Amino acid sequence: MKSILQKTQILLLLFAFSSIFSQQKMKLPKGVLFYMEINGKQLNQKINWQKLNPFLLEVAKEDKEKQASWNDYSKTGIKYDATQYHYANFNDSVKTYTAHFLLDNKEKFQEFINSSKKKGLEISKRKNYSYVNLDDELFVAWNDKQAVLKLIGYDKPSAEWNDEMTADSAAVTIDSAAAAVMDSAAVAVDSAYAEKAFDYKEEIKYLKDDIQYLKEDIKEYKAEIAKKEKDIKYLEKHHKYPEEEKDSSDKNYSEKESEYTLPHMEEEMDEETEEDSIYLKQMDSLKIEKFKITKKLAEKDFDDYFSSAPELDVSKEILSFRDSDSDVFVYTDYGRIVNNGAYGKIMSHYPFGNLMGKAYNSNSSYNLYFDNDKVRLVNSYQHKNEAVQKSINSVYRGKKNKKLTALINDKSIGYYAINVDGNKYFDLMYSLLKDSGEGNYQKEMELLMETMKIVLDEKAITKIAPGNGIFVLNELKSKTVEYTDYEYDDDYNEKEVKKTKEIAVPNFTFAFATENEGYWNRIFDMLTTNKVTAKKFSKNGDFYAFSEGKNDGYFDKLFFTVKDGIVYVTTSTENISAKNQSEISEKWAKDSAKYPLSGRFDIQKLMVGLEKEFKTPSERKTLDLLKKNLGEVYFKTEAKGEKIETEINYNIKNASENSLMYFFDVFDEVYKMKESDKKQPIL
Amino acid sequence: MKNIIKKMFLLLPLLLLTSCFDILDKINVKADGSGEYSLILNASKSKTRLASISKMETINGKKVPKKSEIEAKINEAARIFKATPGISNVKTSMDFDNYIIKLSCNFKKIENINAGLEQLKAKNIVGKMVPVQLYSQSPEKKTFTRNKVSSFKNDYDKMNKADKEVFNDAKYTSVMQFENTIKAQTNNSYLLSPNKKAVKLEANVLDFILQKKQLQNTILFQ
Repeated sequence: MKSILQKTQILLLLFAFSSIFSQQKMKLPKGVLFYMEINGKQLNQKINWQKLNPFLLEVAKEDKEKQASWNDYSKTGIKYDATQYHYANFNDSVKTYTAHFLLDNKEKFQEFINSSKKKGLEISKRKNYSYVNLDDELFVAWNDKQAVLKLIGYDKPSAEWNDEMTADSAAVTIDSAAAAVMDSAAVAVDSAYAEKAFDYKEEIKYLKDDIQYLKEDIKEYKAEIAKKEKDIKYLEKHHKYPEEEKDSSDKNYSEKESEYTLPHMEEEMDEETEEDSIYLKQMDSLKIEKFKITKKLAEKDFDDYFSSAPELDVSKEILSFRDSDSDVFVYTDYGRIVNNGAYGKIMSHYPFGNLMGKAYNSNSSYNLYFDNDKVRLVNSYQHKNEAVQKSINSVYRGKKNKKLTALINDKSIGYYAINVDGNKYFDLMYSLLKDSGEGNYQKEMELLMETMKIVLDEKAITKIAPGNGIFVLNELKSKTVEYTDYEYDDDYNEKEVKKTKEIAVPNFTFAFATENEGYWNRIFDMLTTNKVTAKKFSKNGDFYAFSEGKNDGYFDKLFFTVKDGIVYVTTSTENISAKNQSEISEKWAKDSAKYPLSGRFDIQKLMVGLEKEFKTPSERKTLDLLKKNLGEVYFKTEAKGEKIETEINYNIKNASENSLMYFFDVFDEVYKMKESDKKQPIL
Repeated sequence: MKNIIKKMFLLLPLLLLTSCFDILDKINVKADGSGEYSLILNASKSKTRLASISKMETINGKKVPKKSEIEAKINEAARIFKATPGISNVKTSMDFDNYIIKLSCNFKKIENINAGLEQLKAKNIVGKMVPVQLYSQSPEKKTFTRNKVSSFKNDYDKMNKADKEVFNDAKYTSVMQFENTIKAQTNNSYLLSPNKKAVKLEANVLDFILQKKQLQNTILFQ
């Protein structure tokens, strides 16, 4: 007996292993331009369903058609603590968005789907899965353990770029296998397109659209003609215009004035003609054909998915910057997004379009963390061309400048600091230009580069502004400005009156380093002595001042000065004197000297500065809500290895349990405020 | 009203990011049916913002019109009005410090204004959809009518959010003054002056666009 049991165990294990090995992971389709991995295990612990569910129910209420039936979104049968995979792709005709997720309760999930799908729509059963379409473009499929959601948009490619399309279709189809499974109707549509045949259906659609526009005009002109013809007849008969039948009521007036309301004309126009019904039938058949194509595409993908293991096989390139501790990881292929879309098609028709294509040929990865006190987003940018990436990295390795960081203080609303190597910008420009004029324009591009090198004295330019700068928004001050309004006397004669109002004006400093102080001093001197500009520019001590001569603008005066290798532009001369820095502002100053790009922005302080702009009770309520909830943004960018990394932190300010629930708490509060506004009785 | 909104569309890029402008539309009609028409566009409350925007080339993807372009457009409208029979003494004033634009003219009969607007339409100064028969009067019946205009709701709905915001706090005032004494009117939203020789309607532009308030009114004289 024991040996039988042992044999059975071995057989079962072998069966299990063989079935595991036979189910290989499904490969992520080639050329995806968006990939997202949701770390369900972590994220699920951060979600408070008791708060989130009522919020989702309220949102669902807004959509009356789908309102309903589901009242607990924490129990949908979806295994929320499992990893979810999302990806998107598009080419010239097909756009897809796919989400893979696991299930922990198939029956519940089916109930959930039943509540979301159209009533009466039957679920299709396939060999190893079931599926249904939630609308013409949205499909969902599932088996006992896993499910996949697919949004597919199909549009016949625009005839405008027809010559490019045949090649493009072959080159960048997301899933070329899908084409093979299209039914005859779909193939007919596509082959007609690929052969650039005259598409009478498309032509009919355009002509129908034209008719629709012309009808709009006809309505108006016919009404006017009818009125004038009526007047002519009346004048011929009575030698005068018809008298108004009754003119003391609005109703009678509108009956008379054919220009504005012509019921009989409108009825005529609104009647569905035979022509219209043919048009509608054609539109319906096009819609059906489109649906057949998207359905076939969905089925093909579902077949692939359900014959594979639930995990996705994702390339190392896509995952190279993924942090497994992040809550959400996103990869975007910016080069493909730009070049696969309409923009890429247009640019490919221009001689130097390739230059833009090359500039955008990059990818970005994002790791998102919902920490308790802040949301952290880490972006890794990488250009696909190694030489261009190296040039970008060298631009981001600028010198430090501590004089500029002395302007940072903890009372300010925010700052943006930059320390790049200006000289390296030229190298970056040349590396982008190099080889960008492939084929016909290579010689021209080389000549252009040579000319630029001769004309531009890179070193001299870099000395004027080497690449260190800072913008500090110190505060928003209130200022009284005068404006003109009209008031009326008892006879309703208008009278111009002067009134005043408070506006928020910025108090800021912009400063940048220079290695050629004389150049800037000469410019400012010239502005104060030139006949035209001297009316607005003046000099007072070390400062040059610009004033438009009016006191109702955002700045009464702007001050300029050059001091210790720094050019300052500021709204107040006091701003440039060094301030005491607290521990936190010292840290900011240190970071802003260290990183090529960095900054912070206290949104709450900004709102306080804008207080005067919020006047009505409803606006004041919004302001209070913003002041209570809005936090602080802090970011820094640096060249790290072969990538540019930007970390953005958003520190939350309310008492939410974590930064994920913070957003739902804020949404909830905004929603409740709007609802209470709606309920207020009209006085 | 509709044509005023259309005119506003021409100036829309300049008014973007502002939510404060007022329109005053006024007619003064004598006993013989002649009178004076004036239109004032007052964006003075937003002049600080407008002064900044006017320095830009584009805003929200729309070209910011130059001062000279606005002047040319208004002067062209004035020239067309001047050439309309029955219209005289056409005056325009453009104060770009306070952002106040005024147009005024005299008419022999109120229908001249309708004809002037028709000319503006024919010369493409205003759009084809703009109704031109704004006013009518009947000396025999002793009535004066501010005609009904169709809704601009569809055009408004098609606008993007930023464009819609322009109208948020915009105000429209219609004043009609008469030499004759008013006996009755059909639209009581218009306030009757104590001397019973003028009516005034003040409301947010949005109320007219969304047809929450009506401009149409027929006034019966004693």
